[in-house]
Amino acid sequence: MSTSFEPERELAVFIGTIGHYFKTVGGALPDFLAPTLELALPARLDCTGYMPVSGRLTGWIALSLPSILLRALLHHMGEDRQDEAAQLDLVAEITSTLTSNAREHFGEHLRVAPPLAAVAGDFPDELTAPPLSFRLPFQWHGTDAFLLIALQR
Amino acid sequence: MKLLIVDDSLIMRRAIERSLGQSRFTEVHTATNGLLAVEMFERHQPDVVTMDITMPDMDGLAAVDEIMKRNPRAVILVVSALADKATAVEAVKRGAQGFLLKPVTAQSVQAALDDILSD
Repeated sequence: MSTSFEPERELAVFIGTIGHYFKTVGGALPDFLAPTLELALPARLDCTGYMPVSGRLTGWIALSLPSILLRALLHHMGEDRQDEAAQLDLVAEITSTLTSNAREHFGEHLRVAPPLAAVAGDFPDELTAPPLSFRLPFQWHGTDAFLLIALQR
Repeated sequence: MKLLIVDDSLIMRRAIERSLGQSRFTEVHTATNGLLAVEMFERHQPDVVTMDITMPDMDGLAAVDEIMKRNPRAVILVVSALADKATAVEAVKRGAQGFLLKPVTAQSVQAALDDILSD
């Protein structure tokens, strides 16, 4: 169990949780690309889920997905509702699931709150942009997406 | 039989409901947080409750407490992504009979409900 953010180790945890989610719900593993360190908040895709985190680590974890990927996932789930509200609901739920799944590795001190969701450039008022973040890009069925980890001790 | 699905995600509530298929449940109710879950439980007296944990207003563990106070024989399946042993132990200690880890599939929901109802 870690008490501070250790990029390589924690990115490996999220690679595991993202892979497990997409394999279980979408039927196929994503392809992960090289992570990057971001000094400014990067531009987000169509829908982004934000998971506020508190405890020994504070900040948030965000999952940014394009509409085409969310619609494909909804279709694969057998969901016929695929409008923007459904997409925002799903991206928030996935972000919550990934972060909560990771608690097994971070430990119980990682406290999670209900997720938030926003479209494209919008950023939730409840959160603050971090000085830096780690961006983990991946592709699912050739479509680009990314996870953003903005945690500090 | 009556089922109450508690989850703040509309997509999750609908996914769990779809996974029931042609099942034994003839009446399905939903709630989006713990407070509403307690209210719906009192109103409909469901045979089984599926309960998310991380929700606004009142979380699932607090809702399990409130429901068990009202009916100590309530059957509750916690459906959560919180993947640590302490959370599962806490849910069972408060009275939940089962714990299903998200992400779920139709098969895993059906199996968990079958399991909890066979006890």
